[in-house]
Amino acid sequence: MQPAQPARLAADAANTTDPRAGLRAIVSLRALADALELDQVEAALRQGVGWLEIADALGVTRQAVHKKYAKRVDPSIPVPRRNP
Amino acid sequence: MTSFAATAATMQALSMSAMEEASRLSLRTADLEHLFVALVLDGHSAGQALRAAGITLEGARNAVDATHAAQLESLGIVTGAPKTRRIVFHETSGYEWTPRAQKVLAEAGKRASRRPGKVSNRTRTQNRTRTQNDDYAAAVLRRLLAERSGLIDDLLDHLGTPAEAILRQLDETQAPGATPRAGAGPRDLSSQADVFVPAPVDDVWALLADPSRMPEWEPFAGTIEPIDDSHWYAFPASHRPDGKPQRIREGYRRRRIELAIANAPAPVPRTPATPATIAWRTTYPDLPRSSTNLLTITLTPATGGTQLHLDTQWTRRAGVRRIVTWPLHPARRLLMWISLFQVGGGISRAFR
Repeated sequence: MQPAQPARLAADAANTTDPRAGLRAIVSLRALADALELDQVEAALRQGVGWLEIADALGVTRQAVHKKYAKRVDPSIPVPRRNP
Repeated sequence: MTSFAATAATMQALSMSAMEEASRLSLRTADLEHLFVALVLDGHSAGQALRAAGITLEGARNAVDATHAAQLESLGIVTGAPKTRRIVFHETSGYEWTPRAQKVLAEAGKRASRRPGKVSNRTRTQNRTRTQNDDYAAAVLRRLLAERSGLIDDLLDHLGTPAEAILRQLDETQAPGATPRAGAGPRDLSSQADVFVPAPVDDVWALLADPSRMPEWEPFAGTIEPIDDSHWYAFPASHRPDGKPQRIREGYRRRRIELAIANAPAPVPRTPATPATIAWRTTYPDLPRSSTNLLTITLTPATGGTQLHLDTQWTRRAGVRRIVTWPLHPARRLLMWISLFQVGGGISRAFR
């Protein structure tokens, strides 16, 4: 993905002249964020990063990130356990 | 087959296709656009109508990508071409529908179960057309086209196909003679299903007629070893697709496979009256009283791909065992349907 100009991003995202179109765009943005988040969580687990570190980076609790992704990630990834 | 069972079977097929599509995009939540793609792959009137309206799997996927790219661009976010990923639905879990997709499916269920002739006047699109034999997938398509979020309208704009054209095709499309069945007739232990595969009939035939490629579509086959020119042994995979070790009971560690029928596709130009047929006979050679399974697959060229009719039959036990196992027949028929469903999904997935 190529990052947009920050000034333009802020201007476009704050454009509320057509809220219906804006709301539909938010759904696409949310889907993109979800897909990228799953890709990054899987990549982190592949590199041996633990759930706690992933949770800290995402700004949520370890329990929250584990509950959301424990079943969703590629099961062939060796997931680090807290009590090996 | 009861209408409830037909609806459940179709919902299962749509859910699997939609969630497979979501899994390609690193998503675990299937939304309206994934449901739309699943309908393009539907083996009955809804899929036939979409394909007859000129919508292919590739076209639908491109439209979904273009729609999302345009939405994101309106927020100032420019994305490159989306990554091409493989389907990982069968290897992962934790999938769910978005609430709005669930609502479409639930409302279509009510619509499909309504008696023919009772027409709702709730929305203009719902009101526009109605066929007497409105199967569940067709009801989902009608409901999806009337969905109010605007996502489907955007998708259709990118496809250049108006909703009216699809609805017109849906009205004209006659469902094929055989519909998917969750069970079978009372006298035989058999099950049937219809599946659409988005690939030319020759490519599908090349997959199904080559025993060494059976692991690509048959869940029980992990590896194949030849016995002679027309017999093979199939051994199960040591691990399931989700990576967990497979536990296999004694006597079920290998299957003997025989090519029973092989009527290859007719050369071009083809006539619809001459479909290709392949049949695989399977037994457990290590079981003393093994039943025989015959899986027959009929391949018919269709718009945008190949229509498959799958038929699986088990020989019935004789004597006292037949009477003893009789109460288990409903459960066995359900297992047969699940197995057939997995085979159909495997064949379709090989081309997506």
